[in-house]
Amino acid sequence: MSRANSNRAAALGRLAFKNMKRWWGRLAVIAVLVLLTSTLNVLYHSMLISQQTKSTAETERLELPYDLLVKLPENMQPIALEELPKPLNSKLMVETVYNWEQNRWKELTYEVPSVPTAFSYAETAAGGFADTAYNRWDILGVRQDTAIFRFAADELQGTWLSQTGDLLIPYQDAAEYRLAIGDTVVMRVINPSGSQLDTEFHICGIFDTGDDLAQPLILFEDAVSFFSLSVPNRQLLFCNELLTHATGLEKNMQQVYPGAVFLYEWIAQNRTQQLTTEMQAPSAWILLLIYLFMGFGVLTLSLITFLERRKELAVLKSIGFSNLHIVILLVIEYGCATAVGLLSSLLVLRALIPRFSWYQSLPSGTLERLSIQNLMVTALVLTISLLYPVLLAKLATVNQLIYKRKIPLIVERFDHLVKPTPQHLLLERDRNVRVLQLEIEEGKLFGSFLRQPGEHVKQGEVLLIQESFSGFVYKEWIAPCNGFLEFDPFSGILLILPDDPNAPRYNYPASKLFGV
Amino acid sequence: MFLKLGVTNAWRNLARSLLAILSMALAASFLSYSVSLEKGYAGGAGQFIRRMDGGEIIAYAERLSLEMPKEGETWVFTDQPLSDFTDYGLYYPEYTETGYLRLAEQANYFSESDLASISEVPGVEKVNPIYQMPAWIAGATAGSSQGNQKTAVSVLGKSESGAESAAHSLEEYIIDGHWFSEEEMDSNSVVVPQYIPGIEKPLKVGDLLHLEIPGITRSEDRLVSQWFERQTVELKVIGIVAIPTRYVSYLNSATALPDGAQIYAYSSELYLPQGLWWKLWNQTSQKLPYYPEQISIQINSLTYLEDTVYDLSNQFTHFQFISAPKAEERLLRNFSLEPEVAFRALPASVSTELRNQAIREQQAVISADLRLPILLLILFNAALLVAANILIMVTERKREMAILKAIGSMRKNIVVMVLTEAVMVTILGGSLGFFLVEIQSILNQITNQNPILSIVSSALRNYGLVIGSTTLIALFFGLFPAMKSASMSVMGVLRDE
Repeated sequence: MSRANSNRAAALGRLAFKNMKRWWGRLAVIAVLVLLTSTLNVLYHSMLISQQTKSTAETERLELPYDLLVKLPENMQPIALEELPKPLNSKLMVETVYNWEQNRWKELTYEVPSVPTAFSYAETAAGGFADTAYNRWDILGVRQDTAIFRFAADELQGTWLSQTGDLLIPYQDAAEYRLAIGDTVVMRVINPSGSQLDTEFHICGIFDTGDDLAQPLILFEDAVSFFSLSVPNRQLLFCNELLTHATGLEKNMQQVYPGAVFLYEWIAQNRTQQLTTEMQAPSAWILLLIYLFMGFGVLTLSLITFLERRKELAVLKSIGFSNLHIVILLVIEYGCATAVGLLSSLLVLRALIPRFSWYQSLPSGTLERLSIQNLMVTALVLTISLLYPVLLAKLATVNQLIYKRKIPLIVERFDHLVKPTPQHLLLERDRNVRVLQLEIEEGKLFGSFLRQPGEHVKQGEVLLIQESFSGFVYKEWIAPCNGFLEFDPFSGILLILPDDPNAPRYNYPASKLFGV
Repeated sequence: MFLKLGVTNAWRNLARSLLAILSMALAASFLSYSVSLEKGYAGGAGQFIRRMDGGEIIAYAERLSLEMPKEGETWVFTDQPLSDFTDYGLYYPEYTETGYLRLAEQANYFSESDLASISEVPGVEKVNPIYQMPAWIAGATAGSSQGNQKTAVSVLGKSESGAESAAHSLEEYIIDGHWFSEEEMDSNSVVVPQYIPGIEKPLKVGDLLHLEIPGITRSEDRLVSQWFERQTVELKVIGIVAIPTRYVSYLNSATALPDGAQIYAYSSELYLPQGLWWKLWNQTSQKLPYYPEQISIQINSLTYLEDTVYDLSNQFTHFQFISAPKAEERLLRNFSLEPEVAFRALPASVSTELRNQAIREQQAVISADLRLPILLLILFNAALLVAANILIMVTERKREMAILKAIGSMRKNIVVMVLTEAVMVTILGGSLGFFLVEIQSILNQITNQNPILSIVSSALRNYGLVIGSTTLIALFFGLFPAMKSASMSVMGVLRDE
């Protein structure tokens, strides 16, 4: 960095420091707003996360003999293991992202690996609900040589299913309804057509594996005929590499078996998580509102401060400060206030959060992640909020600041036609005049003439000014050459009759197009 | 004079104060909303549910709408069928297949003390247990093509004609025959819906119905149907009810004129006289005491219906309460009582478009009650904007203030003038926000034929509360800028300006 630049930087820093001392009250309020917003957001967000984690963790995981039970919709064929997509869904779960590369948006497609990555075993089954003398039972019909329901000697009293009419019941049902091996159970099912079918089954065994949702078992063939099925309506699957929370499992399998119902060990946690998210959805509005109000507060304060510092900024500009220096000065001041607010927020959070009972339920790294998120969102919100006052400070001229005039954000100056028409160009050529088109609405001209039609004007003189959008947009029409001014109020055409007939004319590209 | 000056200044600078006015309007509207939980309902809200269930609030012993579990509560996943003794199957028909979450510790019925406690809640006029049990219709008249086919239904015990008010009686929906008279309370008569799912040919008055009712036992405090101990009873249809669900308006493409059709429910509920219901209950359950799993609650006024539901939910956290309008909304949204055939009177395109709007809820949740934090945030922000508005005004009109001070105004006069502006902005914004929310409540109360004096006093009371609160906050936040402007040096300002 050159000596001049470093001197300049040092001077800016000293001036910023002095200004911060002078406007410490306003900056302190901004810092407090940032502190409150950040603290509140991180606290609230972490409380929501801990609620979700806690309720998910407290939900009991099911103990099931299979990894996944698929209840197929009517007439849907189960897919054979060999035909199940491998790896599961890596083609189905395609994620499309858009990246800005080489000045354009590019669509990039990634295959997203899902969990589980492969199924190792699949078995078809059949099932449904049947009424018994005791209750409504959810019956599962399994193959005689099933690899899933293999009971150890101490888990099964009696014998495995061997012939038509055999029934295995869980120990809980046997105890509740006082059933024993050898008892007969009549099961009734009402078909979709409304006809009733009663079938006798004989209890050949009672099993106790400690599994949840244990179901009475019959032979697959019995189930197919009992429930009048044309295709098996259940599939039992084993998976490899099934992680603790297979949150994508149900969503992935819906693409393989649309409309099916799935049962797996973590279904309770997944449902809890989904429902908790739904429950907490309105809370997301609170987080948004908090940032919004911080933004409004900072915008208001910074605008007020700008209004009070107009003379100061005018003096700085008049002694040679460039617009960039002004912006840097303001950025340093507000940036310091924001940094103080954010740092204080981190300290307060560090002190406060361990005192809350739900702190223990927070997954590790949550606070750090939320703090970084909060930092980025706060920076974004503050940038948007401070954009307007900083722009005003940058764009304002010394006169506008001193005389408290409106400061337009958009300034346009016209010394030629922006959209020349053939009529304009013909007029210029035929009468050797210079044409400017003013903006009229419904035959009325909105603006102020600084020089009246008929007067002599000089090149570069402002002829007419127009303000719109409450002064945010400012337009000037400037004389392109010396000459006399004429104005047609109906068409809004401003003509300058040049003193020098050979005065240079603006080279409109359209003139070549129109052959003028 | 300074009050008048403040009002004039505020009126003059209304455009600049727009943001503050709108912000205060938002705060006031939210405050108005919070004063009464809902805007209330007009008299016709939730009509058919109120008549079917006999009350404005339906309560279930088993809570399926979940909210954040409290300390010690856990959720468990179950695939047990929903109770046959409630109408949960209407709202969540797929739960038996998909399973659902329920609280591990849950009540399974309403005891006598529960009913007594509920009836003591302010706003509750009457508590009605719902007498319901499952059954099968086993063929209708002799020679019916339905033969051995069975149709699952629920049988409900209802009071005789005139026992319930017009708003709570299905008698209004009778299209053929009549409702039970007092003399028929023990007779084998039944009132059936015009359309029953599974029955192709609608029943007529005079038809004989064979009803199979299961044996009923209690297992772990839950009522259980024992289908192998069923009893058959023959009933005579004495009345047909047509339950209107919705009216669909559409543009008739043939005539290019607006047209409409009333849609009626396909309901599986049959209505027995109370006496007969008890007789069947005692026969099938061996005189088990009946503890209802579902009740309906009648309240004094629809205007504060949701407030009462809220109070009940807070007081009885293990039960589930839902208002009839919300229950109706859910049933209509899911088309639970309206199969495809119910829309046969409509053109196919209208019917398809309507049915495509069906939304199946996964499992209802009770969202967090965030009225208070949102209200505080909005109020704080509105007050901040009012204060900022005053500060800007003071900054830009320093010369004016200085001149006023120079000609003899005292500090307190300046403060009064500035605060008057703040109050005027607040009252404008607050009134706008209040009336935007309150107007519907007022209209509902007029429709409910509440006394005019009561409507006016309620509105004025709420208005006073809302405007009073917002004004106090605006005064508090506007005091500092007002005092700042009053204390500035006259000479300093005039010299600088």
